[in-house]
Amino acid sequence: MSRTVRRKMPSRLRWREQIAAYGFLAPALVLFTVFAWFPILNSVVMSFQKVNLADASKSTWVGFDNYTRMISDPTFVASWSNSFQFAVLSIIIGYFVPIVVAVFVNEMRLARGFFRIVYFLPSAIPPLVGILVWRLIYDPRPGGLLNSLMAGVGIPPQQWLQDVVLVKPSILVMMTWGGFGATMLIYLATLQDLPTELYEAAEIDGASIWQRARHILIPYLRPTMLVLLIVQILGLVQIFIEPLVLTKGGPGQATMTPVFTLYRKGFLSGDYGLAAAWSVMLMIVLGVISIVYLRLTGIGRTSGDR
Amino acid sequence: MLLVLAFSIPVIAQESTFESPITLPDTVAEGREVTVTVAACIGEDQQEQRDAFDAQLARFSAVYPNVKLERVQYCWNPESFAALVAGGNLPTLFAVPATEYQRLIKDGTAINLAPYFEKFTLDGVFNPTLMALLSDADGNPYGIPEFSYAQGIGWDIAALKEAGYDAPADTWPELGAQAKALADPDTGKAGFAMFMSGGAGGWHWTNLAYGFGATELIRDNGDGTYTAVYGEGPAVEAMQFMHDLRWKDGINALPLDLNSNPTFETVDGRAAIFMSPADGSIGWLRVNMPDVDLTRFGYTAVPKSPDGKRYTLSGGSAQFVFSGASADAQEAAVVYYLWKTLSAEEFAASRVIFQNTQAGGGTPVLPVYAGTVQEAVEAFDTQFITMPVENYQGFYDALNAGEIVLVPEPPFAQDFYTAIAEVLTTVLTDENADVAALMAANAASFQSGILDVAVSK
Repeated sequence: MSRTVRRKMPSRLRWREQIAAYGFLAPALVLFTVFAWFPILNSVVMSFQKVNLADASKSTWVGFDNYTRMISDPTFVASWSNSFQFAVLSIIIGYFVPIVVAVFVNEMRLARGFFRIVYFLPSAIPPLVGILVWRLIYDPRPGGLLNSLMAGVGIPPQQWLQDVVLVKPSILVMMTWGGFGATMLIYLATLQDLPTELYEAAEIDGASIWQRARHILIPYLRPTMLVLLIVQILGLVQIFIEPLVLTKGGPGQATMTPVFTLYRKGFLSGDYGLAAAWSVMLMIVLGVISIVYLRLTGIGRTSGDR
Repeated sequence: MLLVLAFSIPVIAQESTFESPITLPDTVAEGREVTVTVAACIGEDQQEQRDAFDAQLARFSAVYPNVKLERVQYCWNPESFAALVAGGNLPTLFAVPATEYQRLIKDGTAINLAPYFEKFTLDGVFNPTLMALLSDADGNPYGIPEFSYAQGIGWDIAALKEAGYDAPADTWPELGAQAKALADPDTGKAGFAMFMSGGAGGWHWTNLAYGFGATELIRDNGDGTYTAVYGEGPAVEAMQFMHDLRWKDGINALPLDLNSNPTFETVDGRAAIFMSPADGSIGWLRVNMPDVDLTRFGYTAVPKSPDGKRYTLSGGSAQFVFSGASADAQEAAVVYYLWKTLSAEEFAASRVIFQNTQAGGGTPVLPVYAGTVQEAVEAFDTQFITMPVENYQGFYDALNAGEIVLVPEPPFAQDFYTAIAEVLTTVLTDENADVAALMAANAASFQSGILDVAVSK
């Protein structure tokens, strides 16, 4: 690794050099300050208050009460436990789907572009529309779409979204359907950077598709797989719209999630201090996952740091 | 629930002989210039109604030239409401649904209207039961009711007739037996439908609990502490009732989809009896799905509890005045709303706007006013009836007999509804669920996790 040579520059010269850069940066800094950093900071402040929205001066400091209430809440453990289960199940159910599809599409000699589009199409559908369509597919009645298909192979009607065991996998299948196309394109782009001579040599040597995948493709994809795994977990911790639209957090507490609970506490119960505590907790968890992500990708490190 | 008409009912208002119960002031805000923003939930396609609304605002400014009124298009929703309050941008005069009344009172978003009720001698003008829901513990009114409904029972007349029933049964256990008889497991058709999941599920179930004889679910101890008392007694019976509807005798009398809408289930022929407020079901259908033949459906009051009363949570909407507005604007907003609804000059115009922008005429709802004002409203509104009111006689009979008793939402209502819905969805998805144990455990965790820590806040 090369080391950059740091030379001490006269400060006035550096400021002159950088003033244009800061000028270009200023609009983004202002927007981020107003719409991201200030709300984040305000959330932290609110998490220590009994919030009066109508008159902020009447908000009172309550110390860590909101955090105590958050941890005491019967849905706290369930929400985070569900997030963990969603993350684990998603690795089993959905993580490898885009990889497999990318490998197959990459192997195609004809109509590769067509299949790229076909597999990407679900990602182009607005999530809410997709969820409503899947609600019809998961109709629990004997004449429901999926149940009718199942009946064709002798499987009795299932309560896809009403069964504690089935509800999480059912939601994850739906999410995989909606998301795997975009992820597949990332894998496909990575695969297309693969040195062709390496792959052709394996083909000439008679390696099967499985051998080529195992010894060439998967090792080559491994860094991308790791990064996308973290991105997937980041997304799963924030599951919200699916329980909101499909299950209302049930059956029982099976699909309660931190963001869904945060929404309920803030917008339905009007308990903004408690909701802020949930959001700070969520921010910390997402921050930790993001740090892992940044470490894995090397983003933020300059060549001189390496 | 605020509703927006998808079409306009062609109505020519009759002349009104309404006698105003109030005397309005000659000046507002001592003549100082003041601007008042007034929220209006009128659909984009209802230009005629918007024009009528604006014309009324202009007439008020003609009477009180120092007051400028501005219509703000706003239909309440929880997300934008919080942002508007925090930003100080809530309209001076705004409406919220009944679920929000007590929160607005407690968090200081709305002003205390007691001085205005006293000044304009409004005691006895409004339905006292509704005013109780709109007042704080000391009896100070914070809102002015504009619309109210109770839960009730709707039914598919043909489906019940085919099974040999004239109407839904008058007690919950009997209605349960009826639902079993009406259910068809082969097609998944339900005998009885209600909301079963999330906050709406908890809200509906709470009506059942009162119907089984519960008198309180969360006890206000009066010293700032609360006790969850729903872990035993009639509340457990109500939950067992739901469990049995789903599992007993091998017949599922409920919709399989826990997230289904009871009205849609019935309209689509997938349920025979449903629980819902009239404005959110048959009234909603009249407004939003005018092609549905409403003569197919009957509507009556909720079944009787063991003491012969029909206890029900209520809903509706009321007008509030934003505490963040100036004192002059607050005064002008109150005077405007009273002038609009209770002055002899504007009574007829306001009823026309209300009827053309709210639920279908003839929807069985609760009286907003009392005494002669209510009589005048009912007499005037007769011209707007488009619903088959003869099918709702059971509701009106119960109302007129004083059997319908409104119960307030329990303390920590939204948290409670969510918590009890967890039990509800569990017993509806687990045949072997121990209902009594689940209810006791839920009440205990609600006590320790919500009520006890809330007190220390």
